[in-house]
Amino acid sequence: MIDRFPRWRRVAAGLCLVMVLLMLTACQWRRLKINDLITPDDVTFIERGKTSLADVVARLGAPDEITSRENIMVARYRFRDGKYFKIDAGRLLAFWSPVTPEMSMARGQVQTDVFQVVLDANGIVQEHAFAFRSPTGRFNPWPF
Amino acid sequence: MRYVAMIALALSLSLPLNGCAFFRGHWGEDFDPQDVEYIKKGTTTRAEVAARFGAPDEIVHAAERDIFHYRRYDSKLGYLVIFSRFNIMGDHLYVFFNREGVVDEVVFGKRTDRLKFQIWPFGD
Repeated sequence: MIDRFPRWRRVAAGLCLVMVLLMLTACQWRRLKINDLITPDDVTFIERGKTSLADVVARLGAPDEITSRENIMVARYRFRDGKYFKIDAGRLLAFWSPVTPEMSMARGQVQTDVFQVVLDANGIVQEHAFAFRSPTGRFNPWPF
Repeated sequence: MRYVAMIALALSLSLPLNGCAFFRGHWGEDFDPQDVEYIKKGTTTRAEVAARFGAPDEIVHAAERDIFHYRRYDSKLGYLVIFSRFNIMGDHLYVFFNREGVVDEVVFGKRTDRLKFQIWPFGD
């Protein structure tokens, strides 16, 4: 009977698995999310001069802030999505070294945006726009 | 069997390096839906709202109307070994008053019902 998985292959596979797990312990994936993201598709229902504050609230929830200027009100929805990824090669030394030097590469990116709705004195939408539209972040440890 | 032992060994080496944690934090008092239903357009006054909810976190004067703004925030952090995720959401109650100090409009949004403990940082 032929052994389809000879001993050396099993040992190599086991070592690879251990190496992958050790490498994983040197990594950190962190995420920070403030409120649900609002996309342009979510606000297509808004029509200038027709949609009311109540309609907007029914679809998007209550705004985070309402401010006023002269005879208009501005409702703001704020949301953030931050991603942070770190690789610390020094962690690998922890298994056989009395000291664990930090040998890290890390990068954090925060996608932040504000959706603004301008309303007249009767609470009818006059304008709406995203304030920043920063690019979508991704997990990337390369800091340069 | 040997593979299982090897995986167990690797996991036992890696887990103590970080461990796991769950944290919860909130700011402000939770809104009772009965309190929000108590506010009736055209009848409830500014004084009655203040008596029920306390002083607002913010008063906005907009388009010749006063708006009482009450807010609450909730946050949940899940942390497991190499992954973590921190979610924050806020609830907001706006009460609009007319010139006579009677409720004209109520805007309430409760997002914290959807707030979850999550560890997996990927996806939505």
